[in-house]
Amino acid sequence: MKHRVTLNSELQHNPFVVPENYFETFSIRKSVALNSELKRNVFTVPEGYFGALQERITGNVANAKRQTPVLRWQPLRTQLAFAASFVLLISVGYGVSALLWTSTTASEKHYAGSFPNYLAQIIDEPALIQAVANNPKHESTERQPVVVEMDDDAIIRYLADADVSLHDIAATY
Amino acid sequence: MTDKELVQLFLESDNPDYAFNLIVNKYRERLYWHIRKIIISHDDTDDVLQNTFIKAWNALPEFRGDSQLFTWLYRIATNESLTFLKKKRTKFFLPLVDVERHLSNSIEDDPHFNGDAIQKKLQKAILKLPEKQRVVFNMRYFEEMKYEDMSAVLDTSVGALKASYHHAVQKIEKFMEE
Repeated sequence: MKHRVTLNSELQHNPFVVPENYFETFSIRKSVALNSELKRNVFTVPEGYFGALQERITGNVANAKRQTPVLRWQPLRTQLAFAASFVLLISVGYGVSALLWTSTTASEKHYAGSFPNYLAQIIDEPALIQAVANNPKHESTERQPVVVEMDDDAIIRYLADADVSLHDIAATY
Repeated sequence: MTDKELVQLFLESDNPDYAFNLIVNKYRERLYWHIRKIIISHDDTDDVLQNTFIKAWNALPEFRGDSQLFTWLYRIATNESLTFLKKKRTKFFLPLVDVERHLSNSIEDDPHFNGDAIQKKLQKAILKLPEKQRVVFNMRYFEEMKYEDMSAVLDTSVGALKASYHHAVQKIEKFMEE
Protein backbone atom coordinates (compact mmCIF):
# COMPACT_ATOMS: atom_id res chain seq x y z
CA MET A 1 0.00 0.00 0.00
CA LYS A 2 1.43 3.34 -1.02
CA HIS A 3 1.91 6.10 1.54
CA ARG A 4 0.48 9.37 0.28
CA VAL A 5 2.83 12.47 0.36
CA THR A 6 1.30 15.93 0.43
CA LEU A 7 3.19 19.17 -0.06
CA ASN A 8 2.71 20.88 3.26
CA SER A 9 4.45 23.78 4.90
CA GLU A 10 7.05 21.58 6.58
CA LEU A 11 8.56 20.75 3.21
CA GLN A 12 9.14 24.39 2.41
CA HIS A 13 12.10 24.42 4.81
CA ASN A 14 15.40 25.03 2.94
CA PRO A 15 17.59 21.95 3.32
CA PHE A 16 20.72 23.55 1.85
CA VAL A 17 23.35 25.22 3.97
CA VAL A 18 26.33 27.46 3.19
CA PRO A 19 29.87 27.38 4.61
CA GLU A 20 30.29 29.25 7.86
CA ASN A 21 30.68 33.06 7.38
CA TYR A 22 30.15 32.70 3.67
CA PHE A 23 27.96 35.76 3.32
CA GLU A 24 30.15 37.87 5.58
CA THR A 25 33.17 37.25 3.37
CA PHE A 26 31.34 37.26 0.08
CA SER A 27 32.85 39.30 -2.77
CA ILE A 28 32.50 39.21 -6.53
CA ARG A 29 35.36 37.02 -7.69
CA LYS A 30 35.10 38.39 -11.18
CA SER A 31 36.73 41.52 -9.90
CA VAL A 32 38.43 42.34 -13.15
CA ALA A 33 35.81 42.55 -15.83
CA LEU A 34 36.28 44.39 -19.08
CA ASN A 35 35.02 47.86 -18.46
CA SER A 36 35.50 51.23 -20.03
CA GLU A 37 38.38 52.13 -17.69
CA LEU A 38 40.55 49.53 -19.34
CA LYS A 39 40.05 51.14 -22.70
CA ARG A 40 42.61 53.80 -21.91
CA ASN A 41 45.50 53.71 -24.38
CA VAL A 42 48.49 52.45 -22.46
CA PHE A 43 50.97 52.68 -25.29
CA THR A 44 52.99 55.79 -25.93
CA VAL A 45 55.24 57.01 -28.73
CA PRO A 46 58.60 58.78 -28.60
CA GLU A 47 58.33 62.51 -28.23
CA GLY A 48 57.71 64.33 -31.51
CA TYR A 49 57.13 61.06 -33.35
CA PHE A 50 53.99 62.06 -35.20
CA GLY A 51 55.48 65.44 -36.08
CA ALA A 52 58.38 63.82 -37.93
CA LEU A 53 56.28 60.98 -39.28
CA GLN A 54 54.75 63.00 -42.10
CA GLU A 55 58.15 64.00 -43.44
CA ARG A 56 59.50 60.45 -43.23
CA ILE A 57 56.49 58.99 -45.02
CA THR A 58 56.81 61.61 -47.75
CA GLY A 59 60.49 60.68 -48.14
CA ASN A 60 59.73 56.97 -48.29
CA VAL A 61 56.95 57.51 -50.81
CA ALA A 62 59.35 59.53 -52.97
CA ASN A 63 61.77 56.57 -52.89
CA ALA A 64 58.93 54.21 -53.69
CA LYS A 65 57.95 56.39 -56.65
CA ARG A 66 61.43 55.94 -58.10
CA GLN A 67 61.03 52.18 -57.67
CA THR A 68 57.41 52.10 -58.82
CA PRO A 69 57.99 50.19 -62.08
CA VAL A 70 59.79 47.44 -60.17
CA LEU A 71 57.16 47.30 -57.45
CA ARG A 72 54.33 47.12 -59.96
CA TRP A 73 55.92 44.17 -61.71
CA GLN A 74 56.69 42.30 -58.53
CA PRO A 75 53.22 40.81 -57.97
CA LEU A 76 53.28 39.49 -61.55
CA ARG A 77 56.80 38.14 -61.33
CA THR A 78 55.77 34.52 -60.74
CA GLN A 79 53.15 34.53 -63.47
CA LEU A 80 55.59 36.15 -65.90
CA ALA A 81 58.22 33.53 -65.07
CA PHE A 82 55.70 30.77 -65.84
CA ALA A 83 54.65 32.47 -69.08
CA ALA A 84 58.28 32.95 -70.16
CA SER A 85 59.06 29.29 -69.39
CA PHE A 86 56.05 28.19 -71.39
CA VAL A 87 57.02 30.34 -74.36
CA LEU A 88 60.60 29.08 -74.15
CA LEU A 89 59.40 25.48 -74.06
CA ILE A 90 57.15 26.00 -77.06
CA SER A 91 59.95 27.78 -78.95
CA VAL A 92 62.47 25.01 -78.25
CA GLY A 93 59.93 22.35 -79.24
CA TYR A 94 59.12 24.20 -82.46
CA GLY A 95 62.80 24.77 -83.19
CA VAL A 96 63.69 21.11 -82.72
CA SER A 97 60.78 19.89 -84.87
CA ALA A 98 61.60 22.46 -87.56
CA LEU A 99 65.25 21.38 -87.53
CA LEU A 100 64.33 17.70 -87.95
CA TRP A 101 61.87 18.49 -90.75
CA THR A 102 64.48 20.60 -92.55
CA SER A 103 67.12 17.86 -92.45
CA THR A 104 64.63 15.28 -93.75
CA THR A 105 63.60 17.57 -96.58
CA ALA A 106 67.22 18.27 -97.51
CA SER A 107 67.91 14.54 -97.70
CA GLU A 108 64.84 14.00 -99.84
CA LYS A 109 65.87 16.89 -102.10
CA HIS A 110 69.38 15.48 -102.45
CA TYR A 111 68.14 12.08 -103.61
CA ALA A 112 65.23 13.47 -105.65
CA GLY A 113 67.69 15.51 -107.72
CA SER A 114 69.74 12.46 -108.66
CA PHE A 115 67.52 9.41 -108.42
CA PRO A 116 69.81 7.20 -110.52
CA ASN A 117 72.66 8.09 -108.19
CA TYR A 118 70.45 7.23 -105.24
CA LEU A 119 69.60 3.84 -106.79
CA ALA A 120 73.25 3.26 -107.60
CA GLN A 121 74.06 3.88 -103.93
CA ILE A 122 71.52 1.49 -102.53
CA ILE A 123 71.61 -1.30 -105.15
CA ASP A 124 74.47 -3.75 -105.42
CA GLU A 125 74.35 -4.24 -109.21
CA PRO A 126 76.51 -7.41 -109.58
CA ALA A 127 74.54 -9.08 -106.80
CA LEU A 128 71.28 -8.13 -108.51
CA ILE A 129 72.42 -9.57 -111.86
CA GLN A 130 73.51 -12.74 -110.15
CA ALA A 131 70.15 -13.02 -108.36
CA VAL A 132 68.20 -12.59 -111.63
CA ALA A 133 70.38 -15.12 -113.38
CA ASN A 134 69.71 -17.69 -110.64
CA ASN A 135 65.94 -17.16 -110.69
CA PRO A 136 64.26 -19.61 -113.13
CA LYS A 137 61.31 -17.28 -113.62
CA HIS A 138 63.61 -14.82 -115.28
CA GLU A 139 65.53 -17.30 -117.45
CA SER A 140 64.10 -15.80 -120.65
CA THR A 141 64.65 -12.12 -120.74
CA GLU A 142 64.06 -11.68 -124.49
CA ARG A 143 61.15 -9.45 -125.42
CA GLN A 144 58.19 -11.43 -126.83
CA PRO A 145 56.78 -10.17 -130.17
CA VAL A 146 53.70 -8.13 -129.58
CA VAL A 147 52.58 -7.66 -133.17
CA VAL A 148 51.84 -10.68 -135.29
CA GLU A 149 53.16 -10.26 -138.75
CA MET A 150 50.35 -10.26 -141.34
CA ASP A 151 50.47 -10.25 -145.15
CA ASP A 152 48.46 -7.77 -147.26
CA ASP A 153 45.64 -10.26 -148.01
CA ALA A 154 45.14 -10.88 -144.33
CA ILE A 155 45.02 -7.16 -143.63
CA ILE A 156 42.44 -6.60 -146.31
CA ARG A 157 40.32 -9.45 -144.93
CA TYR A 158 40.57 -8.01 -141.42
CA LEU A 159 39.48 -4.58 -142.59
CA ALA A 160 36.64 -6.00 -144.63
CA ASP A 161 35.42 -7.96 -141.58
CA ALA A 162 35.57 -4.74 -139.57
CA ASP A 163 33.43 -3.01 -142.22
CA VAL A 164 36.12 -0.43 -143.02
CA SER A 165 36.24 0.64 -146.68
CA LEU A 166 39.47 1.29 -148.48
CA HIS A 167 38.06 4.67 -149.60
CA ASP A 168 37.82 5.77 -145.95
CA ILE A 169 41.34 4.68 -145.25
CA ALA A 170 42.60 6.59 -148.27
CA ALA A 171 40.71 9.74 -147.21
CA THR A 172 42.14 9.50 -143.70
CA TYR A 173 45.77 9.02 -144.68
CA MET B 1 37.88 67.63 -46.50
CA THR B 2 36.01 64.33 -46.91
CA ASP B 3 37.64 61.09 -47.96
CA LYS B 4 35.91 61.26 -51.32
CA GLU B 5 37.26 64.76 -51.94
CA LEU B 6 40.75 63.67 -50.91
CA VAL B 7 40.71 60.75 -53.33
CA GLN B 8 39.35 62.97 -56.10
CA LEU B 9 42.07 65.51 -55.41
CA PHE B 10 44.71 62.78 -55.56
CA LEU B 11 43.41 61.30 -58.80
CA GLU B 12 42.59 64.47 -60.69
CA SER B 13 44.92 67.21 -59.52
CA ASP B 14 48.33 67.99 -60.95
CA ASN B 15 49.85 67.63 -57.51
CA PRO B 16 48.90 64.23 -56.07
CA ASP B 17 51.68 64.58 -53.46
CA TYR B 18 49.72 67.33 -51.78
CA ALA B 19 46.54 65.24 -51.66
CA PHE B 20 48.46 62.24 -50.36
CA ASN B 21 50.04 64.33 -47.61
CA LEU B 22 46.55 65.32 -46.53
CA ILE B 23 45.54 61.65 -46.42
CA VAL B 24 48.63 60.77 -44.39
CA ASN B 25 47.97 63.66 -42.06
CA LYS B 26 44.38 62.54 -41.54
CA TYR B 27 45.01 58.85 -40.91
CA ARG B 28 48.57 58.46 -39.64
CA GLU B 29 47.66 58.35 -35.95
CA ARG B 30 44.59 56.14 -36.27
CA LEU B 31 46.49 53.65 -38.39
CA TYR B 32 49.50 53.82 -36.07
CA TRP B 33 47.43 52.83 -33.04
CA HIS B 34 45.62 50.15 -34.99
CA ILE B 35 48.94 48.59 -36.01
CA ARG B 36 50.55 49.13 -32.63
CA LYS B 37 47.85 47.12 -30.87
CA ILE B 38 48.67 44.18 -33.14
CA ILE B 39 52.45 44.50 -33.34
CA ILE B 40 53.03 45.91 -29.80
CA SER B 41 56.58 47.17 -30.49
CA HIS B 42 56.84 50.83 -31.48
CA ASP B 43 59.76 50.32 -33.87
CA ASP B 44 58.06 47.47 -35.71
CA THR B 45 54.85 49.47 -35.84
CA ASP B 46 56.73 52.34 -37.43
CA ASP B 47 58.07 50.04 -40.17
CA VAL B 48 54.64 48.55 -40.85
CA LEU B 49 53.04 52.00 -40.93
CA GLN B 50 55.59 53.18 -43.51
CA ASN B 51 54.89 50.12 -45.66
CA THR B 52 51.17 50.71 -45.31
CA PHE B 53 51.41 54.22 -46.71
CA ILE B 54 53.80 53.18 -49.48
CA LYS B 55 51.36 50.47 -50.56
CA ALA B 56 48.52 52.97 -50.35
CA TRP B 57 50.46 55.38 -52.57
CA ASN B 58 51.11 52.69 -55.16
CA ALA B 59 47.54 51.42 -55.17
CA LEU B 60 45.70 54.73 -54.87
CA PRO B 61 45.73 55.46 -58.65
CA GLU B 62 43.61 52.30 -59.08
CA PHE B 63 41.29 53.19 -56.19
CA ARG B 64 37.80 53.39 -57.67
CA GLY B 65 35.83 54.13 -54.52
CA ASP B 66 34.17 50.73 -54.21
CA SER B 67 34.95 50.99 -50.50
CA GLN B 68 35.58 53.96 -48.25
CA LEU B 69 39.12 55.30 -48.12
CA PHE B 70 39.15 54.76 -44.38
CA THR B 71 38.21 51.04 -44.56
CA TRP B 72 40.58 50.57 -47.51
CA LEU B 73 43.52 52.00 -45.53
CA TYR B 74 42.60 49.93 -42.50
CA ARG B 75 42.54 46.82 -44.64
CA ILE B 76 46.04 47.52 -45.94
CA ALA B 77 47.29 48.22 -42.42
CA THR B 78 45.72 45.03 -41.05
CA ASN B 79 47.12 42.88 -43.83
CA GLU B 80 50.55 44.46 -43.45
CA SER B 81 50.49 43.83 -39.70
CA LEU B 82 49.48 40.18 -40.02
CA THR B 83 52.01 39.67 -42.79
CA PHE B 84 54.69 41.20 -40.56
CA LEU B 85 53.92 38.74 -37.77
CA LYS B 86 53.90 35.86 -40.24
CA LYS B 87 57.30 36.91 -41.58
CA LYS B 88 58.61 37.20 -38.06
CA ARG B 89 57.55 33.63 -37.34
CA THR B 90 59.09 32.38 -40.58
CA LYS B 91 62.30 34.36 -40.13
CA PHE B 92 63.04 32.99 -36.69
CA PHE B 93 61.33 29.62 -37.21
CA LEU B 94 59.02 30.40 -34.33
CA PRO B 95 55.69 28.69 -33.68
CA LEU B 96 52.70 30.94 -33.05
CA VAL B 97 52.83 30.57 -29.28
CA ASP B 98 56.44 31.79 -29.14
CA VAL B 99 55.59 34.93 -31.07
CA GLU B 100 52.88 35.64 -28.52
CA ARG B 101 55.33 35.05 -25.71
CA HIS B 102 57.86 37.29 -27.39
CA LEU B 103 55.27 40.05 -27.77
CA SER B 104 54.09 39.50 -24.22
CA ASN B 105 57.63 39.82 -22.89
CA SER B 106 58.17 42.95 -24.94
CA ILE B 107 55.35 44.61 -22.98
CA GLU B 108 57.38 44.10 -19.80
CA ASP B 109 60.41 45.85 -21.23
CA ASP B 110 58.63 48.41 -23.41
CA PRO B 111 59.66 51.95 -22.45
CA HIS B 112 56.62 53.18 -24.33
CA PHE B 113 54.09 51.40 -22.15
CA ASN B 114 52.62 53.23 -19.19
CA GLY B 115 49.84 50.92 -18.02
CA ASP B 116 49.40 49.52 -14.53
CA ALA B 117 49.43 45.83 -13.59
CA ILE B 118 45.82 45.29 -14.67
CA GLN B 119 46.43 46.99 -18.01
CA LYS B 120 49.49 44.85 -18.51
CA LYS B 121 47.50 41.72 -17.72
CA LEU B 122 44.80 42.78 -20.16
CA GLN B 123 47.35 43.21 -22.95
CA LYS B 124 48.84 39.80 -22.20
CA ALA B 125 45.37 38.28 -22.24
CA ILE B 126 44.71 39.86 -25.63
CA LEU B 127 47.97 38.43 -26.94
CA LYS B 128 46.72 34.95 -26.09
CA LEU B 129 43.93 35.30 -28.64
CA PRO B 130 44.33 34.00 -32.18
CA GLU B 131 45.65 36.81 -34.41
CA LYS B 132 42.44 37.58 -36.28
CA GLN B 133 40.35 37.42 -33.13
CA ARG B 134 42.81 39.81 -31.57
CA VAL B 135 42.32 42.24 -34.42
CA VAL B 136 38.53 41.96 -34.03
CA PHE B 137 38.75 42.56 -30.29
CA ASN B 138 41.03 45.59 -30.64
CA MET B 139 38.89 47.20 -33.33
CA ARG B 140 35.71 46.74 -31.37
CA TYR B 141 36.87 47.27 -27.79
CA PHE B 142 39.54 49.94 -28.09
CA GLU B 143 38.63 51.66 -31.33
CA GLU B 144 34.86 51.16 -30.90
CA MET B 145 34.51 50.60 -34.60
CA LYS B 146 31.11 49.68 -36.01
CA TYR B 147 30.65 46.05 -36.95
CA GLU B 148 29.67 47.14 -40.48
CA ASP B 149 32.98 48.98 -40.91
CA MET B 150 34.88 46.06 -39.42
CA SER B 151 33.11 43.81 -41.88
CA ALA B 152 34.36 45.96 -44.76
CA VAL B 153 37.92 46.00 -43.41
CA LEU B 154 38.20 42.32 -42.54
CA ASP B 155 35.94 40.99 -45.29
CA THR B 156 33.99 38.96 -42.74
CA SER B 157 30.26 38.90 -42.03
CA VAL B 158 28.88 40.98 -39.17
CA GLY B 159 27.50 37.84 -37.51
CA ALA B 160 30.88 36.13 -37.56
CA LEU B 161 32.53 39.27 -36.14
CA LYS B 162 30.02 39.48 -33.29
CA ALA B 163 30.59 35.84 -32.45
CA SER B 164 34.35 36.31 -32.62
CA TYR B 165 34.23 39.35 -30.34
CA HIS B 166 31.97 37.55 -27.87
CA HIS B 167 34.37 34.61 -27.65
CA ALA B 168 37.33 36.97 -27.31
CA VAL B 169 35.71 38.78 -24.36
CA GLN B 170 34.96 35.47 -22.66
CA LYS B 171 38.54 34.26 -23.08
CA ILE B 172 40.01 37.51 -21.85
CA GLU B 173 37.79 37.71 -18.78
CA LYS B 174 38.60 34.12 -17.95
CA PHE B 175 42.32 34.84 -18.22
CA MET B 176 41.97 37.96 -16.09
CA GLU B 177 40.25 35.97 -13.34
CA GLU B 178 43.13 33.51 -13.05
